[in-house]
Amino acid sequence: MAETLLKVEDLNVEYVLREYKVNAVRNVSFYINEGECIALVGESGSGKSTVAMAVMGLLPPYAKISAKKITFDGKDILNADERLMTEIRGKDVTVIFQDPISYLNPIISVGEQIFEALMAHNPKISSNEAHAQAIELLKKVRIADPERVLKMYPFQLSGGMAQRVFIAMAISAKPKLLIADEPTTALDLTIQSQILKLLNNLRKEYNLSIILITHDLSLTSYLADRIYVMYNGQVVEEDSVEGIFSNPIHPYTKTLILSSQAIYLGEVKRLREKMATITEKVENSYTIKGCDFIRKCSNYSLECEKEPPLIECNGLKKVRCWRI
Amino acid sequence: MQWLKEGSVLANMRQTIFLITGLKKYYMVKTGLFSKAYIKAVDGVNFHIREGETYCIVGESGSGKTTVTKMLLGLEQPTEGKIEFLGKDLAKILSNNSSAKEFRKNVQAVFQDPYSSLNPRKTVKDILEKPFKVHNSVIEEKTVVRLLEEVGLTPAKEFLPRYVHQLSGGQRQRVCIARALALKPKVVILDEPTAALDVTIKAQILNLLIDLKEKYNLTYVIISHELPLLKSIADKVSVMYAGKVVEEGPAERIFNSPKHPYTLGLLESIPPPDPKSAKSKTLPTLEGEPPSPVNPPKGCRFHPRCPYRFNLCDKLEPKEIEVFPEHRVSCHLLDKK
Ligand SMILES: Nc1ncnc2c1ncn2[C@@H]1O[C@H](COP(=O)(O)OP(=O)(O)OP(=O)(O)O)[C@@H](O)[C@H]1O
Ligand SMILES: Nc1ncnc2c1ncn2[C@@H]1O[C@H](COP(=O)(O)OP(=O)(O)O)[C@@H](O)[C@H]1O
Ligand code: SF4
Ligand code: SF4
Ligand SMILES: [Mg+2]
Ligand SMILES: [Mg+2]
Repeated sequence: MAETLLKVEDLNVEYVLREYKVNAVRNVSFYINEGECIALVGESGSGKSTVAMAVMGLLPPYAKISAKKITFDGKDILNADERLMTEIRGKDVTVIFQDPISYLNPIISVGEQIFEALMAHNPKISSNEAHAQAIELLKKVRIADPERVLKMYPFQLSGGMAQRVFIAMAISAKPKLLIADEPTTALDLTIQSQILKLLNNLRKEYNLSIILITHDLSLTSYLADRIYVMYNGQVVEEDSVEGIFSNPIHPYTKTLILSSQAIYLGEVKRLREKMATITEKVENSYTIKGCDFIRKCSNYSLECEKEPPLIECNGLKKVRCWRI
Repeated sequence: MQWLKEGSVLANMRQTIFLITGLKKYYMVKTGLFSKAYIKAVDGVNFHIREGETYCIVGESGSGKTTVTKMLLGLEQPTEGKIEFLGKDLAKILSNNSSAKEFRKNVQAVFQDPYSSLNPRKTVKDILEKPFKVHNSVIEEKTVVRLLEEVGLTPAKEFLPRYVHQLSGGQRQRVCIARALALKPKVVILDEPTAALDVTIKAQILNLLIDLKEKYNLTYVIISHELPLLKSIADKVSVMYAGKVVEEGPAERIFNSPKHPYTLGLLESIPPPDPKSAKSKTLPTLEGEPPSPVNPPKGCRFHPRCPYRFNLCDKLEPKEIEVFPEHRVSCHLLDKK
């Protein structure tokens, strides 16, 4: 039985700016076991990255975070001191992003940046040893000519290569958890499948846990074990991958699946009839009272004006909807 | 035969909108104080785009898609080759003020990023009135309201006073499409029209494009790296790789019986939204990366990545072979001689 690695209970994040406040994440609970891959799926702005940043402790200072509990490897990291946080962050938990090039230092060679990452975790490492390890890492992420790439600068890398370099740095400290925030969104189809395969191989090799953050449901069927569907800052449905695809319950999950499948099969034209029973545009009502999906939902009734809780169904499934 | 009835014969009778032959675009880059090199962004492509067609150009980033768009819009000069619009040389059309204006009215564009292509200091009303002002046409509020309704932004009156930041991504792209339609163009060129949008919104925008096309008999040129999306909308597909077209044909042929190893690889890499399918367990990949546009590989440009390459491939450039009416492929495997 795999151990639970990360457990988050009732996470809330609010961005408090002078002009306005955003409740970016509301009452989000999830867990991930060792060696498992979970996916956070939802449209842009639904709060996926905010969840990741909260776990990493990388939220901006004006973000107000609260939670009932966040534990990593059995340790309380919600109330952890700075020292424990830095120990966990960047070593046990690392993150990769959609646009790796903008996170790499443009004026430092790839090699130097990997050496720095290696030194951060092992200050006594010799330069020969660092070089050897860097080559080893680049081979792990399947870069064909590592010696040449070490001497290159970020702007000389293609999007796919930059993501490989970034992954190499992310795994340099042998983390237990890798958060991959839209890791393939900026990449071409053929490079996307290469990177997904790479992540899956690393997962097996290191017993790595992966949180895959994506707006593209199609990616989850290859990599993920369980899915959390997010809408407007909340988890609206969670289940195993199979459960989400074969038995979607929340109307938002249904629209996601129908849209993805219609696009894949080239049947977008027929989508409208299928969607008609699930969503309708209720224009001109900006007041969101109760369920977040009420503006779009065809199935709503009076009770929906109260906020629905996450209701436990069969097996792993939980759904935030009154009318299930 | 099915295709004889519906496909090519009828299509051949339609008017040619764009005829593009031997089109090349090289950009010069300095590689040192006295040395220079050429980026071969587009390296000899042909397209035949007919009235009422949805012509899609697909390929990986850097394959030259956007450069083709820019040349079609007259925003870049071709290094070599010819573009004809309705039988006339585009260079000539653009050299004359009144015919250039007529061309700009007839050929509109929608770009990938609805955020940067709309002026943040203007309201939706301003944005939609501008094309009329530029072309000295009369503007009636009725017309602008109709446009908004056309693209599904209703009630229109509510959207007129809004600024760009008060619209969602999908709504912004709808405004871009409305603007492109304002002057009743013949052709709309769309460069990655849905790349920045969420899946459910992508599907909505595709449906909108399908409706508008049927209603106004528009011709679309759609440039995209999102191959799966094109399946719902394309009539013709051209697959570009490293500045060249490697396969071109009716969409139904490209999706159901692709012939070029690169097209096959692309189609195989589409992850299926279905955990039960065998493909989602293995996820086939095409190894390697697209080549440098400065020094593309000799012979077939795809050979370093091709699982089927053989001794001819790195020596000789493959010829274009018609494997089916209107379906052309550049690969030695198909050269029977
Ligand atoms: N700052 C604003 N002022 C006024 N209305 C706004 C503002 N921001 C958003 N809206 C409106 O609120 C509604 C919801 O916006 P939101 O961005 O949540 O839409 P959405 O459902 O995500 O849209 P889409 O599905 O098209 O992306 C829309 O009608 C939008 O035009
Ligand atoms: N640094 C920030 N400051 C203010 N608001 C932010 C910040 N980051 C995200 N938000 C807002 O929080 C919400 C959730 O954003 P995010 O977590 O980035 O969503 P996702 O990753 O699902 O696209 C959005 O409304 C977004 O605009
Ligand atoms: S709670 Fe009501 S409005 Fe919300 S998704 Fe369920 S049925 Fe629709
Ligand atoms: S010509 Fe050769 S290398 Fe090129 S696609 Fe055909 S088989 Fe592959
Ligand atoms: Mg994000
Ligand atoms: Mg482009």
